[in-house]
Amino acid sequence: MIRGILGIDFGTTNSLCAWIEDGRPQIVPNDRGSRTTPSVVALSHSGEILVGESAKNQAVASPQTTLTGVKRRLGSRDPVRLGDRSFPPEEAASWIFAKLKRDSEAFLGFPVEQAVVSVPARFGEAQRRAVKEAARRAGLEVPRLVNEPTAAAVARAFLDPEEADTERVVLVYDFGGGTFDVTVLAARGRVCEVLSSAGDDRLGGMDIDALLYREAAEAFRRDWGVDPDSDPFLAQQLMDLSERAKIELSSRSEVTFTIPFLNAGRGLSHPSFGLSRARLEDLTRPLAERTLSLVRKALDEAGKRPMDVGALVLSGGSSRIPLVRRMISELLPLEPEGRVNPEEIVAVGAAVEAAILSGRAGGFVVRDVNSRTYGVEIEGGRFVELLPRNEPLPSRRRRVFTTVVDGQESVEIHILQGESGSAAENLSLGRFLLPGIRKAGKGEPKIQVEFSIDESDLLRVRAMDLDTRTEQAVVVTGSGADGGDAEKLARLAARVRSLAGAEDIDNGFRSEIEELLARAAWAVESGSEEDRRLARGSLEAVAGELLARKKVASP
Amino acid sequence: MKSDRELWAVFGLPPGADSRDLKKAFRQLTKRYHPDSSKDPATARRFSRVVRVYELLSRKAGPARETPAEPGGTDPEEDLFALGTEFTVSRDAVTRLEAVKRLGLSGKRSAYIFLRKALYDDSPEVVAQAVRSVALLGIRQAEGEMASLFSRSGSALKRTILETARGTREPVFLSALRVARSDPDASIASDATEILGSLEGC
Repeated sequence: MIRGILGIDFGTTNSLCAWIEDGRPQIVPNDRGSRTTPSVVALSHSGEILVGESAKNQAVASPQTTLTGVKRRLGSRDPVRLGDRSFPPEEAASWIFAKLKRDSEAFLGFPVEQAVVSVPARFGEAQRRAVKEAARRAGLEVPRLVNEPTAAAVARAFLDPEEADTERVVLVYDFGGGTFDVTVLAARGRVCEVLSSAGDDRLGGMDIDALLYREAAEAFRRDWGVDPDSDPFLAQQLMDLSERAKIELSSRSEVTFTIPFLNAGRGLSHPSFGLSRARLEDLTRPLAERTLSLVRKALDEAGKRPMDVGALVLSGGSSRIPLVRRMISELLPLEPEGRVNPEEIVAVGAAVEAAILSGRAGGFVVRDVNSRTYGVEIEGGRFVELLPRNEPLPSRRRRVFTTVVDGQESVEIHILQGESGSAAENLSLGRFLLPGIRKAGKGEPKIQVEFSIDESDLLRVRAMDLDTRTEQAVVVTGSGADGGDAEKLARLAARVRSLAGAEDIDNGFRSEIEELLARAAWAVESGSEEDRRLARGSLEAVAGELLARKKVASP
Repeated sequence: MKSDRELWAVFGLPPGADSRDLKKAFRQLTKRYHPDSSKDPATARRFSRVVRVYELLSRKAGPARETPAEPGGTDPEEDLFALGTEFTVSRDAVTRLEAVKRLGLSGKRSAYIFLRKALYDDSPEVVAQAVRSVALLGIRQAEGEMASLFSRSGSALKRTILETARGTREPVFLSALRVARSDPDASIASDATEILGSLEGC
């Protein structure tokens, strides 16, 4: 019996769970009553696995058997080390998921078997798969991953029903423990459409902590003759103090690091080190400026100016830093919205997505966007983008090309996915040839290339000589970003069914289609993500075949 | 006057395939082109040709592969994904070729998700078999990719494409044949013109 789907913000430093009850979001506390659970795992002396606060506490005493920032290791094959044992990163991450599941079940009072989990928008396929695998090992199926900034925008829209009819450009500035993401959305009431996004998955509060740590370690070496880098115990203490100092300096102008009763070979000492907010801001400024340049990039991509932004949503603990707030507010210029705690907004958004999936969110709709950039190769091995990522689905883009040689009778369309200007650096998805071009001097023929992608993520590329009307088309199979998405599979099945109804097809093909549609329906309903991915591949091939036959049938 | 290779091409098989594969391909084609399933006269012509060539070849076909008897003696349906995985992961061209052949014999049009990849295989033999399998399955969506393949291929593969086009008369070869008409090799160009004529005549 599944009672509902939980929303989980699986963070680099902290994780949160949220649940929508009667249209209101609720942060689910852990077994200690805290709203956040540190994303830290550790092995105790007796070999017991510790997660959350207890693991974090142990970090000070035994840093070698403690692991922080496992999220950054996901998607890699390198094992993580804990003491003298090593584990795949998704195994270590699964302990955190297991604790979140256990604590949520205890609080909510029913079994939790599914969760919507938020991930950085820039996570690649391997990282996304690792997140799902980690959750699966903990007994949580993940019917959907949601990009963190999208979750924040969705949460804002969900909590603000009064704005039902106003359309706004919303900028989500998500500066978390380990990652930075900025997303520009068009929001009308509860309908959000992602216009663009940019980010850096190696930029977060942990980097600020590391800068503070360097500063403090240097002072300890210089003034007290102790080297924290050669003492893991001291290093961990100092790392902890660095994070606390950063947080304190959001509300105070000066803090002091003190490590009392330190025995560093030359007897006891009580090394301390003072840090001012001004110094923290000097250290933080280059990182904040890097985030602002990504904000400008995202605005450019969305075709918006800073003054077009109607709402600024801050997310992630690092967005609480006063310097960061000041700089982003000056750029836009706009005060951040303060309705939701920046550290909780992503979890709330994940819970809203979960409520949408289980049909408990009323008429709340989020439009899907195309998450990959597609284009073709042109003369000189260059890549021209035709269908940029972040386009709302369905989408269609056309562009007219021409020939490069006199009397050229055919052109080859080389389809690629990627964003590099050089075709060789992008992923090749296929090549097809359009013959029958009108014989003419180079540069005269007009060849129209069209990329179209529908709501089910089915990508079709067509090329047509505008003079002779000769055309050729292919459906690109296996190109979708999220091949396991249940909703998109259901939409693809509906498209195949309607195409199959209109075509004259032989009995063998007819029964193959029926069988594949039945398998897809099962995969949507109760199959695993892998089942859906397989079902999707077959249906894409069938859709391509039906579309090709349609072309032949109609002159 | 047909060469042996072209007779085998009617069934999307390499020359000298065993009788078990031949029978499988024959069953697939007769099911598709049986006069009962279509009133199109081209279908009927195709059907009688398939039957004629089958009779010729079944006398020449090699013995059936030694395969262990299935429990109950049933011929299990080919698992497309197992074959596709075999094709995708195998480093051995012979294994890939066999997988690509069996994808064609599966009778499933959705096998194209793997056959498309096989059109880009490093081994020309695997590519040649992908061409035959696409033709056996009567896949039409590969027309543009087939033309592209033709234009980047060496003469051996070009000839395989032509002989498969002549044997199967599948519309998937139309664009490739149009490109082949102006091939620098005069014999390829004239063959292509002739095959195209007979195809468009249908």
